[in-house]
Parts: sequence; C-alpha cells; structure tokens
Amino acid sequence: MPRLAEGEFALVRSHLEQAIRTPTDPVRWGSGMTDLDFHILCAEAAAQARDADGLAEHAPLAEEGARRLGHRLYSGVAHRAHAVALLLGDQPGGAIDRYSQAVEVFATLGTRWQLGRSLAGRAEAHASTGNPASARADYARALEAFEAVGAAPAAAQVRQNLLSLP
Amino acid sequence: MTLEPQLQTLESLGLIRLLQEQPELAYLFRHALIQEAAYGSLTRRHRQSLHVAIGEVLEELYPDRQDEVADLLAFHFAAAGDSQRAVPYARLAAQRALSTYAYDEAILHLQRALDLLGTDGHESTRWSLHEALGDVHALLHQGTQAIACYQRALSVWEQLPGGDRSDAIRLHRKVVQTGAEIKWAVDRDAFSEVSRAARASSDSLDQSLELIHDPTPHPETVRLLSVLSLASWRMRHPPDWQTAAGHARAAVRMAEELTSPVEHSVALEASGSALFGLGQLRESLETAEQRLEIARRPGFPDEREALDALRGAACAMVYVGEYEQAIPLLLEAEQGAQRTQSADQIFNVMALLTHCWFRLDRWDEIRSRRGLWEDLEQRFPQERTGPICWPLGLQAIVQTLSGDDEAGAELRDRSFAIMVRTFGEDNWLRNAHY
Repeated sequence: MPRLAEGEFALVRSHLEQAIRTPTDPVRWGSGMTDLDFHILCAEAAAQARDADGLAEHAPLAEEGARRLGHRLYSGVAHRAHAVALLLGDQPGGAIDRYSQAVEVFATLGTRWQLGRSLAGRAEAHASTGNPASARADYARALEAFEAVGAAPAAAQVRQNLLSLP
Repeated sequence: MTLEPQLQTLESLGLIRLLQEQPELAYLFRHALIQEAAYGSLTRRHRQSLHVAIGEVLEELYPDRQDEVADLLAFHFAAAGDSQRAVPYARLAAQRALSTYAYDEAILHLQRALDLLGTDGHESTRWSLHEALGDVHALLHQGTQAIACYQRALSVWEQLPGGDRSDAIRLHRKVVQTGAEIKWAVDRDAFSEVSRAARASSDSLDQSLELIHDPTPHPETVRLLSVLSLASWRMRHPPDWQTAAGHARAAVRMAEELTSPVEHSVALEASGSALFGLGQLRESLETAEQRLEIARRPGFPDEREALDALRGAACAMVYVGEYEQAIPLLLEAEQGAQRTQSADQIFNVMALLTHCWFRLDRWDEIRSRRGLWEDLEQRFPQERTGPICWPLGLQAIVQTLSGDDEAGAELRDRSFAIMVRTFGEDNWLRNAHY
C-alpha cells in the first residue's frame, strides 16, 4: 500500500474530524456516515500513515463499535488497525495474532482486497521477526488475492517485497 | 342510408382504406391531409355535434370499460366543448396511464383537464386536479414542480367556501414531504427555494396539531405524523431526532390500530429513520424488516411502497455490514424499479448495490455497471435520481486501486464537483466520507 504523504494524511484527518461534527442523514442510497464509519476510516487512515497516536485514538473505538453492531467487515478492519499499532509498538507477535484474526474475517467474507492487505501486513510482521518462509507464504497468498481482484499496483508492490526477502 | 355503403363509396374513391374487420370494423383515412380537409369542411357546430355523438356512442358501447377508452372520451367531449363531461374522463385517463407507469401521459391528461376548466369557477375540481398533478410529479421525483402544483391547489382551496380543512392539511403535508425527500437531490440554490415553501407548510402543519391529538385513528393522521417526523430531522439543522422519534412512535401506534398496511409501512419507515439518527442501527434494521414483512403480504395494495420497503430493508442491512444479505433484496428491487419506471429507485438501488460490491471487493461488478450509470446520468436530471457523487466516488477508488490513475482522478473530480454543488463548500464532508 502506498502510504499517504504526511501532508495528505493531515488533510484527510482534518476533513474527517470536520465530518464527524456535522450531523448526518440516513440517506436513501446508503452513503450517510455513522460514528462507526468515522472511527473505521480514521483507524484505516492512521494505519496507512503509520500514525501511532491516531491508531491509539480510533482503533479501540472502531473495534468496540464493530463488536456492538456485529459488523464483521469492520471488525476485520479494526483487527488490522490494532495489528499495525502493535507492529509500531515493536510487538510483532501480537501484530501477527491480530493480522491472523483479520485474515480469518476477510477470508470468510471473501473480500479479496482486504484479505490481500491483511496478508501483506502479516508477511511484513513475519519478516520483521526473521521468518522469511512465513513472510514468503503470506506474500504469495496476498499476491493471489490482489491479482484475483485486479489490484495491479498492490500486486506489483507485493512482487517487489517478495524479491527483497532473503 | 346505412353506414356501410357510404364507407364502401369512400373506399372506392380512394379516400379511406379498411384497417380491420375483426374484432371491430375499422377504417383509416388514406392520408392525414384528407382527414384534415374533411374535418375543416365541417362547421364548428357540426363538428361539435359529431364529437358529442361519438362520445355518447363510446359510452353506450363500453359501459363497463370506460377507463380503457377514457382518453378517447376525454378527447371527443373536449372537442365538443363539453368540459363537464371531458374533465372526469381526462382524470380517469390519467389514472389509467398511471396504472401502467405512463407518467408523462398522465401529466398530459391532467393538464388537459385543468386547461378545460380554465381559471374561474369549478374550485372543488380544480384544486383536486392540481393535487393529482402534484402527485404525479412527486412520483417522478420532480419535487419543484410537485410543490408548485400543491401550492396552486392550496390557493384554489382557499377560495372554496366551506372547504374541508383536512384537505388543506394533507396538501401542506405533501409539500413538506416532497421538500424533505428531494433535499439531497437538487443543488443548494434549488433546495433553498424548495425549503422555503416546505417550511411555510411545516409551520402550517404545526398549527394543525389538534388533528394529531384527535384520538380517533385515521390514515391521514398516520401520514401526517410520519411527515412531521421526517421534517424534524430533514428540514432542521441540527436534526431533532428525539422529536422525530416521538412523532414516529405515535404514527406506528396509530397505524397498528388501523387495518391499513400502507400507512403502517409509511409509519415504520419514519420510525426506522429516527432510530438510525439515534444511532440504533440494529433496531433500525429490525423496523425495516418488519416493514418489509408487511409490504410482502399478499394483497399489499401499493407497489411503490412495497418497492421502497424492499430498498429500505436492504439499506438498513448495509449500515450494519450485512452486504451479502442485502444484494438479493436489491436485485429484486432493481427489477421492480425498472418495471415501475421509478428513476429515483433505480438510482438508489444501483447506488446501494455499488456500495455492497465495493465493501465485498467485487470490483468487476462495479466496473460492469459503469455504462448503466452513464446512461442514467444522461437520461435523467439529478432531481429525478439523486446526486451521483457517491457511486462515482466508489468507482474512482476502484479505478485507482486497479492501477488506472487517470480514470480514477477523472471520476474523483466529477464526484467532488457534484458533492460541493449539492452539499455546499462546508457541509459536503459528512455525506462524502469516502
């Protein structure tokens, strides 16, 4: 995943924080934003920007909201956000556990893009623990998922990551 | 002399030709100019008497099928200058056109009836025709035209001595409902115009609260409560969700006492929206499913309400992440929307489907629909559908993640422009979080 540049992330966050203060309507076409949507988006944006503060603020709220509502997709996103936070906190073991829970959710849902991202994240965590074999296996599965959904840039990035493994 | 030898003479002269013998004998003029010349050779009085005769023959021939020939009857009595007989038939023709989803034809019949009545007298008929015309525009999601019709109906109603006040309340209710429903479908300038009219009617409804406090359950009171609930959040900033929920609860309670499933469904929609606003998304889904169960019962009389209940249940599922469950409902709703020619429902259903496919990473399905979106955008103005920014934004993300940055950027810019135009520079964000 290409990371958001620092300036862009700040802009995204400022927009999202402005959005949450604006009352929403349950519009008919389903684009009305709930508080849970907001926390999920902020957690996702923080994960992509590797922003530990943003993750600490939004990932628990995202997880709690997803659990309360029984929102499976969002529970997977929350697991992945927690995984990034753990990785940033130098706890790769915990990160792998969280990524694995995300992988399980997305594999059950059949959401290939989300699955690919979670597998690529877990591969990165494996690599950081000096386990290139597991990293290679996860990258291979991630590549398969990205190719199946047609995510060419993400697939290219995974190929590059595979080449850089020892 | 009987008719047939005369027809044969005309045929032998080459002026007319036999169209069919069965099930009924029919001839056509060989050329429109012959028909025009023949018609023009008659005196006005003779023409009118012939039109009356044709109308009366049609009435005698088809006493049980007058709705099928209502357009012909309206035409002949109108041409005869007999508006008293032409107007009811024009209205009947409009109803028949509506039953086959021929909305534009219905508008023509109702407009013809109003033209026949002129601007003086016949107040009791005129206001109801304006209301009927407004209803057709509302079905077409032409909110500004619908509100203009309801306001004309109100101004005619005010000239009516001893008019039933419940009629005026219903008209105000429809103004508020229409104004609230098109809130996000028109740009901000158009909406501020519409909202002025809706606010005036809303104030009038607030003054009519004694109708609400009448303990006798009545379908119109259920609809009024439901619209007051809608107006409490749609027309207020910030939305007053507690008031919305209170009106909705009262509507549902009253609807449960009535044996009118359509009003029950309307009240449950109001309740589901209020629960959404209060953040109770699971309860909102339960309400939407209850509404759908009622709308699916055999004999449910309102196809459009049933379609909306289907869409509403799917939308509530989307908000709690039940995308797979929502898709079959949406595909069913899509068929219904096509059948009833409901542009707003076609748009809504396609937008929700796009949302579900996006969340489920089914990008091929999103890509495959791009032509349909372009077709919809070309065929209908935004007022008839809704702002296309949301599905365009989702398509932009898919294109970008697929590696087509140029197409993604183009879609993103179009989406952004629509958002700003519709929601304003400051307020677009909450509904445009993608």
